[in-house]
Amino acid sequence: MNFIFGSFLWLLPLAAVPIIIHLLQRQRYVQVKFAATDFLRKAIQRVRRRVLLQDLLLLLLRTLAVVLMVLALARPSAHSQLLDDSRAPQLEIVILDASMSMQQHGSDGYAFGTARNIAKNIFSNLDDNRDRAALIVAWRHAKSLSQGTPHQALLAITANGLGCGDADANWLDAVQIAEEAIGELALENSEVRLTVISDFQDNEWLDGGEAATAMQLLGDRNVVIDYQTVGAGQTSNVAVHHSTVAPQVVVKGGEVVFSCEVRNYTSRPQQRLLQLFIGGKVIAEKDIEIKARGRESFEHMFTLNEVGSRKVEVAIAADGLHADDQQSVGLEVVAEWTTILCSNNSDFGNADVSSNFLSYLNLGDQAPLRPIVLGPHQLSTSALNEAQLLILSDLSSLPSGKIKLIESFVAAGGGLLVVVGPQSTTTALQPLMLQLGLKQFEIAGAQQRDALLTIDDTEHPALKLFSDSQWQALLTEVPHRTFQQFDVEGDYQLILSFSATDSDYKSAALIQFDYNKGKVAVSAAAPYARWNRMPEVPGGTMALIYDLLFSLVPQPELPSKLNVTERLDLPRAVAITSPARRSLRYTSQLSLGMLGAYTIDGHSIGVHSLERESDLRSIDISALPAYSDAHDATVANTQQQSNAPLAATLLYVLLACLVCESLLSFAIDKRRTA
Amino acid sequence: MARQSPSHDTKLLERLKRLQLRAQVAVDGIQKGMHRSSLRGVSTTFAQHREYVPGDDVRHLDWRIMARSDRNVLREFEEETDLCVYFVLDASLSMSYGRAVSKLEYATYIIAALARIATQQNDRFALAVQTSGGTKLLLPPSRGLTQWKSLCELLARVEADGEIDTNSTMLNFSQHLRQRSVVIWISDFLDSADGSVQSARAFSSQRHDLWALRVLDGDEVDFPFTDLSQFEGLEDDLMLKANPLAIAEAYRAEFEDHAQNLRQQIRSLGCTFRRLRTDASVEENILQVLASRNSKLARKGR
Repeated sequence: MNFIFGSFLWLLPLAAVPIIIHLLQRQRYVQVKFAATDFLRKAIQRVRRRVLLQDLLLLLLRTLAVVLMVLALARPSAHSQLLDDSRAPQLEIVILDASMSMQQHGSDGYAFGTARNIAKNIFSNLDDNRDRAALIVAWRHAKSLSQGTPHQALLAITANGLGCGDADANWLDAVQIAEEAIGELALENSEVRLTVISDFQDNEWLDGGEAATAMQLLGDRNVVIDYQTVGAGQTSNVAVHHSTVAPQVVVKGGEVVFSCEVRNYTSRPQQRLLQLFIGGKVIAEKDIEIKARGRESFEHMFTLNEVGSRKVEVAIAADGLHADDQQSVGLEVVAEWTTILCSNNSDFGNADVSSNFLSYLNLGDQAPLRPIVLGPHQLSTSALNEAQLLILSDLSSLPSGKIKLIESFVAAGGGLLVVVGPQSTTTALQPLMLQLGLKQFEIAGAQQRDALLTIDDTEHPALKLFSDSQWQALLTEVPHRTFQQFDVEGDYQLILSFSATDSDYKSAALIQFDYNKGKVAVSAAAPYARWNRMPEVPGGTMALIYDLLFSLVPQPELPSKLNVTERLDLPRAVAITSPARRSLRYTSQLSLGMLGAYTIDGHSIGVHSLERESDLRSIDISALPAYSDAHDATVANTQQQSNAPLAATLLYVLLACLVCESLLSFAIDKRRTA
Repeated sequence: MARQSPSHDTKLLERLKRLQLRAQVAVDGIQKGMHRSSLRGVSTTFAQHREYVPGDDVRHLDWRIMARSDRNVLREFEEETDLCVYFVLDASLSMSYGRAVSKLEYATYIIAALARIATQQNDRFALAVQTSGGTKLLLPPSRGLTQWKSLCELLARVEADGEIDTNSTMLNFSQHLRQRSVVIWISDFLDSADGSVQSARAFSSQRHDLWALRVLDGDEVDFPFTDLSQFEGLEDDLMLKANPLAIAEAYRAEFEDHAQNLRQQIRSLGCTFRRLRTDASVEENILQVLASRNSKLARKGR
């Protein structure tokens, strides 16, 4: 027999405590002078044997109770590999599940700690001269920590640095490494045993799951597979998932919406206090009730007035699995968007499209957009480098030399809005549009007629206001003047169309498409004073223009969040600070393996847990033999067959021992005090 | 036994005062009880029956004969002028035991009270004390209040002293009593029952009227100890370690066996035997002694 928590055996000397107490009590006699000592002597002679027997029996029961308690704590295992000279050499391979779910703290303690103890126990029972051992840890990237003698494996399993990861376990890798270890270490007459120590989450181990699939690889091998369950069914969990901020980049004072989901993985309704933090301060909190195995959404809108990168953090009260009780996302707050308004008519003497545009954009120092008016000839690399948005407003001509500049601007992530107005010409805009990837672009010519606008893409951010039915009529029920339309072919997204009420007339009014990192929008619904025939309600037009331009602004190079297993392509060499405050430097690609908020070149990125790791439901491992039998693998379900019964038996004996002790004490006390 | 130091004198006087007061209080209580009952006194002896005439004390009517013969018959008592009461006090070390009051002190109260009654009935009385040196007659027989005061003084001086061979000392003492007497032997009788019975037999065979009064502390009867204890013998060097709770039952059984054996054997000799607990009042104990004594006389038809 060996023990899973062998260190508890150090408590065995506690068995001497009842004896010591007994002996100490014997030292504490009260001196009494007494006359009738003769009767006393006879009485003592009469009961001496019985009292001695009772005392010894009580002492034995108490000592036995302590011993049994210590043994039960040490969790004896029938996974016995007693050093028998006649047995075959043994190759013991242990795969340790180091996925995030193994961080759970249940009634059995820290699951990964328990798993380490089991592995330690297995290795310590091997013969260093004859047996061989391998320790494989199934992190996101499975790794062999030791291949050789049991002593080496023992050193590896007891090493201080060995910990549980924040990601999932790569079982395919782990089993592949196990196969290699078998090939390298197994002798001809070796008995090969593979012990998998895991919480056996449904997601991984159900038929078809990655772990279950991985075990098929061992199907052809003559390997005894032993499944050891730790933490299964011991912990209930509620987790935070899907935290996002929209938009990820916001001009100071702009609205930001944080949203997340709280999921209950238990079979009972749960209540949690959810708190939202920015810069360590709580900005919102809410008591959330989540149905059994249900999920609840949380949304909160806020504004920030200080420019910079922020960490927005959400947290619920910690439970059995802490890792998924909080998430963070990065948020960038910028001062303003520099917008170049490029027009042939730069003096804006008439109430034309460009002057209308400028009146919308030029809202003063505190406005989110800072417009700069330039003629097409004034466009330069330096001017575009300073800008985030470029508006080509009703151009009748565009020097060909500027097309490359504009294309580079868009490719680098800049936003481009092309307004097709009364003066726009095909010759001015077609080369640029073709350069940006459209198959065809042609101004159809002035048609000067009224039409209604219809919404083709209600989800587009430019139509954020008009997705609300109370405002939608401003856009769709007021006749609009159509000056010029464009014919377009290619890969684009249709947002608004012109349509006539008396015919099948339909023409694109607003489209958008991506070019490399940038976004391009083309609008024939120009912000002209006479455009919507309702100059007295320009607010609707203004909201459309602003939301459209905000949807075109450059996106940050780095995401605000990513999952723990996700790879991140870096635009350049970056300096990273991990959640544990370690400074690193990466050049091309990285995978962030620790949950929490990283800082990359001054920008916050939240690294989130995998949702499936939060679901701590386990499969019944007694179902595994059937699965393994189908693939000629032998399964020794020691959890079911040995450990549990042994520990339970010890507990039953302990209980019986305590009951006997209590009954005997009661009977003796009753007899003595009668 | 007797000490002469000034401090001892002060203590002695206190003891004497307490003894006399306690005895007087006890006797007062006893006399009230005697008025209510038919108790007569220490040396009251039946003489003859005669017809009742008006003026006789109705308490002396013999109701049994009246019931049988339909005559009013009076019992007459004669004073036995030669009868002497010998108080024999066990002053062994075991008598020094007691929580509130030692058995020895309690015994002196009993003797003083009984002697006071004897004085009131004009009986002679004497005091002998059992010590390690044997049973010594400290106060020769005499009567009167002076004799009682002398007895009280002697009693106040008595202190427990060593181990006593009760059997031999009492046998020797019995040989010195030539006249038929009442012998009131007050002891804890913790020695072997056979020795005590043998002594009692010696007195009984010489037609002495022996009263064996056994003085016991409540602890010795009930054995109420609970803590683990090392019991130290008072008369020997015996040291016994024991858990009192574990042995209490056996102790009580041993004690009662001995008590029953002693009581039966002494009573079978025609002697009076009573157990006096020191946690009971002196007068209550004496009343019970006299009551049992009276009922014994009644059984004998005297």
